[in-house]
Amino acid sequence: MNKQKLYSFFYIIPIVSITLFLFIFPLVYSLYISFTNLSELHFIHYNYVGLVNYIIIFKYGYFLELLKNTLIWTVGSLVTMMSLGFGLALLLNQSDLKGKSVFYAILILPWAFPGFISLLIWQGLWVDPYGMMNRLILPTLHLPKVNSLTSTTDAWIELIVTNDWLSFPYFMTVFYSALQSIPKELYDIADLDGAGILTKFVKITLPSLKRTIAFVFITSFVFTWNNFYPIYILTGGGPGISTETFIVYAYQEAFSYSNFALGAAWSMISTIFVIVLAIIVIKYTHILDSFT
Amino acid sequence: MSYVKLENIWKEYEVKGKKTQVLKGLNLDIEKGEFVVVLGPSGEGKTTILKIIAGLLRQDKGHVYLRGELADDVPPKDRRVAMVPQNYAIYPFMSVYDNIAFPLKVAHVPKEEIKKRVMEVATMLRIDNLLDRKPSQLSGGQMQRVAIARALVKGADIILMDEPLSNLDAQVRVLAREELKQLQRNLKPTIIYVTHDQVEALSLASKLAILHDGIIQAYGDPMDIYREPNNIWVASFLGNPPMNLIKGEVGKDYILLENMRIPIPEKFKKIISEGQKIIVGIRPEDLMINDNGILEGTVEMVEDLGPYSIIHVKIGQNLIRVIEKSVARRERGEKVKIGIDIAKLTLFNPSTEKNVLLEAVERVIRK
Amino acid sequence: MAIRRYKILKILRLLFSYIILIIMSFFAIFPLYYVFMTSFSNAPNLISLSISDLIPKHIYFTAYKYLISTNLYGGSFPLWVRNSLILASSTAIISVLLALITGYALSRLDIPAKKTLATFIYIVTFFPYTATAVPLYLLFAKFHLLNYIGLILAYTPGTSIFAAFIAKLSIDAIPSSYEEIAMIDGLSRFGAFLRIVMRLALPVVALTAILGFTGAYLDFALAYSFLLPNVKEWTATIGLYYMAGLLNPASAPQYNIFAAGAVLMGIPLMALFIVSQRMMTKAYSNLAGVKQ
Repeated sequence: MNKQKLYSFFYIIPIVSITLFLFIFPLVYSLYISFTNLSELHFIHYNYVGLVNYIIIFKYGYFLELLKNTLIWTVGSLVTMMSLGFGLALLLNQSDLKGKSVFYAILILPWAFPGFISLLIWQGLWVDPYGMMNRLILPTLHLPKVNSLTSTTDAWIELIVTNDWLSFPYFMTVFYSALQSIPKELYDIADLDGAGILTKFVKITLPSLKRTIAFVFITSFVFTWNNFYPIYILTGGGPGISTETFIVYAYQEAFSYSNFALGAAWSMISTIFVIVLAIIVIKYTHILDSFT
Repeated sequence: MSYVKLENIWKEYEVKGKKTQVLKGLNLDIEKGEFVVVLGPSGEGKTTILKIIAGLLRQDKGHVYLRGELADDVPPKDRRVAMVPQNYAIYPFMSVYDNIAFPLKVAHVPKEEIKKRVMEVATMLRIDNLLDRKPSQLSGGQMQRVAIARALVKGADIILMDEPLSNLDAQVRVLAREELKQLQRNLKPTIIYVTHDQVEALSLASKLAILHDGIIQAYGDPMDIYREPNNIWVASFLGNPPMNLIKGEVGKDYILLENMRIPIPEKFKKIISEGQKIIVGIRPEDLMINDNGILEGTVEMVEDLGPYSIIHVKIGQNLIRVIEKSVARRERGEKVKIGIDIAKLTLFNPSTEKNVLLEAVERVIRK
Repeated sequence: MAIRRYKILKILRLLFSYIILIIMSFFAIFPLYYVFMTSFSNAPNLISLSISDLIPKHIYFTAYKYLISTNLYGGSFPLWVRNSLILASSTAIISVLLALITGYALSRLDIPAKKTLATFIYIVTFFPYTATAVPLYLLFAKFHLLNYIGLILAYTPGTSIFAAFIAKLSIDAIPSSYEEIAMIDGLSRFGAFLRIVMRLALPVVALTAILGFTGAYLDFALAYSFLLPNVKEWTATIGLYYMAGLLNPASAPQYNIFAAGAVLMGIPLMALFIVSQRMMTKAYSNLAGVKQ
């Protein structure tokens, strides 16, 4: 009988070892590195320096600044994306709306098209003063120009608008199918009881979607927190460091400035936040029950 | 010669943290060429037994012997058994021909030989016209025959069947049963067939094994078990409607049931003694309603089932069932007398729940 | 009259909905339309892109021709695409094997500590590539794995873990009698897994292959940090990044060439993505509906 268990074990070894080597090991290694002074200068011979890197981060580094930025990025993106997606889902959910499939097919394009390529395209659109946005679109809509090289607010606008473009279809899809699964009868009965649109929304729609909204919010929060590409490609963290988030800054420290140890330390800090959030998700949504 | 032998088999299952003992020291000894049906209620381990014989599951304790040799550590592919699972497991991505040929292909049998054997088996089962179809185009009965063909083509002499007829319509099932019996008569493999359907079991089996509570309760000729069930559970399980079981007490030369006396059949006279508590078993078909009957009672309910009726009669505290040809129409509340075919009486020991006759035989053997 | 009022409100509501949907549709499709049109223009850079290019009178194929035939920066677009294809296909194959083996084990075999394994795997899915980019780079640098093999190793866990979960659910739905019969007929358990279960679970195999392929193909962060020094080894994403003028603005090619590259890469990947989404919803609904 024990032979059987041993045999089964072999099937699991591939995935466990790969996860170990490619997730756990690097993290542990990164942790170790963050306590050294590994950098371009000290590549072959580096020393253990204890908490120096972390002290640098908290005292002279921009910990609070970056935390603020990461939060602006995450919360700002999420709130706008989810509202857009939710609103569109509500619009599409109207039973007397015609041409739903056409709208849906068009609206889903930003999500279907590879995000990385879209970001490269958007980068060219926002560049001031050559990009199409500043030359054509914004003036046509009577909106002020956006210059992300000089203005932090502009930079955030650029980032969040682009991120919204990339992601609103996802939320739209999720909320749409959630809305569709609410039984029509609930609304019919409410109509008989004389409920108005607002009442129906607050008393029926929102409670039914509570679970979906929570799940989507939490998983998207973690995803956006760690979302590297938009900021890296659109603003590179600028102007200055006003749009740097943890993950972008860590990457740049390591690969642009070759301060591997410092970059590792920043990665660690960001990772700790993610772990904490992961635990919250597990506890709150009981997702694991569907696994085993 | 003992061909398939299960010795003291124990098997435990764990479902969501709870452990259940499914097989508790099960013993079964099967001769070559027998058509053994393992009959038992659903969920009591019939499929487990098959899987242990095939080597797909390993028993916790005990031994499996195949063809006289210990087979515990032999992997399924080397045990030379064939199996027809309950859902046939016909590979949907292969044609019928390829499905049947599969075991031979795995064994690297040359192409011509494969073709010959597949045709042989397919013709025997009358599916030779379906060979290039895909499984999705087959009916239930046809799929079942393909599954059997695949089991036969290897030429294995031990075939395990897990309720192969349960997915078929009632009429097809009857026909399939006949064909199975015919097949076994012609080819003479050792078949171990598992089901919860009594009718099937009694019809097909050359030997019947009744599984309950983790062990084989009875093993032998089906009708022998039917007529002389070895304990109360077997008695009430076999037979539809079930055997009537009435509490009684032994008197001088009679048995007291309620307040009625029935004479003691000869074979019991030496075994039971006065004052002994006893449980009397008599099957509904061995009772008749006539004017000379010993028992008296009132009709409670009548079930008219076409060719015959089941009459539920209340005798004192007991409710018994009588089978009668639907000639006389009985009414609820009618007072009737019931005659007993004394020769068909069975007696059980209330404390051991065993058949009194068989207990006595055991005692003699032990001496 | 109440009915008239109701009708007016309904028309207003629908009008409002259509307007919003149309606006959002323009928003959604504009960047894609823009890049599509640019690829057929002959504008050398962003400045020279004019409004008339968006509604062109002439269609130029020069960008496409140039893209396919010319050398860029020491490499060429076809070369980079070929590299990406090799990388992505290898990842796809390994991911399939890994995911299916693990899924099979989780479904059929009695594995020690199954629940802790599932928990562990779930937590791991919270770490995106970019969070482990820095430590992975350092680790692989140490082991001389800063090449394709290293990249493939780095890509596979991400897809495999998620795919293993889906594989487990799908294999749960396949009755074990299929492989049991194969085992009785002479195959070993692993043989039965390969020849029978994989065939029966073909949808999951295809899904995993697509996910692995697109995941590897579209990665930038890891490929960029690993492969930058050697232009001939670049992947298509790095190539595109260069062509957008973000790598070395001075030596960037004409912008319409970038647009052509974006279109050529984007459209097939978009198609793959849509296919994979359909397969996923099908897989989930199959599992939710029919339990055998």
